[in-house]
Amino acid sequence: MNVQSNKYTVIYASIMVVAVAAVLTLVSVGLQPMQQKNIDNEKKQNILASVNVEANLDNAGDLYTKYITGSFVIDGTGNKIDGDAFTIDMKEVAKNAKDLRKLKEDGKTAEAENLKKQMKLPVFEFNKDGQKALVIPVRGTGLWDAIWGYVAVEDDCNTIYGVSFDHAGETPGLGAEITTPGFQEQFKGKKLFANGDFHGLTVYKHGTGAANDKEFGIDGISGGTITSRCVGEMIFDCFSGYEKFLKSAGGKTAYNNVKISE
Amino acid sequence: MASNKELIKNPLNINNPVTVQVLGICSALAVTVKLEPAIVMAISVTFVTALANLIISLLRNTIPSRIRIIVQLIVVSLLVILVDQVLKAFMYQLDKQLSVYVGLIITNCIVMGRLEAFALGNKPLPALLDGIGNGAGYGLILVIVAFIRELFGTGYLFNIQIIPNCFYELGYQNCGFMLNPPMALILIGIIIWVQRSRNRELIEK
Repeated sequence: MNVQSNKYTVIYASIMVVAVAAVLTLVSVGLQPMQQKNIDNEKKQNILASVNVEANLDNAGDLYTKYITGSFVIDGTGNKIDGDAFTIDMKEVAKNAKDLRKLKEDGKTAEAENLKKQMKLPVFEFNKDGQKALVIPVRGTGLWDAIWGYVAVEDDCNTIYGVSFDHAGETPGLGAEITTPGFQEQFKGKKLFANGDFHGLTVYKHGTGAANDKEFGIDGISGGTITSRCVGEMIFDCFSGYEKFLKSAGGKTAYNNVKISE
Repeated sequence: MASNKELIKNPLNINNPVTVQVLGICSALAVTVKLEPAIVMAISVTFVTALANLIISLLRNTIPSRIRIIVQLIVVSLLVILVDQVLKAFMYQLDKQLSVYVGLIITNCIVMGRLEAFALGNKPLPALLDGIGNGAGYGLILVIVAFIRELFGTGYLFNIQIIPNCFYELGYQNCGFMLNPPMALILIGIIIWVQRSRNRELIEK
């Protein structure tokens, strides 16, 4: 047989590709459950980090069951809707949150209200020895790539209990510092509402006024100002969908029994 | 023709892919901050070079020469994706630390270099040994560099404190520079220096 002929080359390449594809498919399908479990555990680990519970990949599942007592899904108008909070696609949430801000900025109130009704927003309930918090996932865009995290809010629905952030591709040593305790610690105790209106956090360039803004000010990372601002923006955008829910739940200790509007 | 023993031994020393052939430097700089990922990387690369060499050597008489690079690439990618999938399933945390560098084994010059230079023209057993030897030669340098960087950069190895607290009380400090990539380059330079001063025949005229 002529190994160098065109026919042989084409057939050889085709068989090779099909064989390799078959092997990879088998492996991928076979390992899928284990990989998914790791991804889920990592998510649980991150949720727990926002409520200051340290977990590793091995015990995240158990600690999650212990401390995260419930979860539910709401829409942008504060109504509870059906769905599994854990599996909601955060990319969609982030996109809706951005669209919502744009519609509001353009003054398209009717369309904004319409979008709110379609939003699916996850909420996780944390309860550790009577200490309660609501964990709200956030996702947005950093300087280079996606950033995401979890923000835990105390049961006054106003004070931040804790946060955890992660990123896909921020600059190591600069923007990537949003994952460090030094940056995340300062979110604790900050407020979301001012005089009953949603305010969000203000991120200052490193060393320029965060110290004077005790309620809402976050000191940005030196050399990572853009990424730090993106964190503030991400929280502002993602929380705007929760505004009504947090307002109606605020001040009531048992937010499980919140009277849902309408 | 080198003996089977030499196929394993030479890449560890006088024909080391990193220090003599100066291949695979990029990942040697990137994954040597800590010992654990360096060891996993070393094992992964050895697995890929060994099996890729074996498979290509088995197929060597059937591969049409016009598409031989593509065939090599397919085999290498297959093995690298296998490694990545297994790491994701069983060593998720390490896989995150190694991040893109597992995928980049595909472009590691050592792998393609051995396939072209050795596996295409040799029988399966020598090819397998050559692959193991070169993977191990790469891994050896990785482990030496990672050992020095982690020990002197953090005082820990495998998350166990090695340098006792009394050293710190006497004023000893960790060398933060060890944790930066340039230090890996400097360390590899020192290793090359030591190696060449011991093996005079490696010194270029």
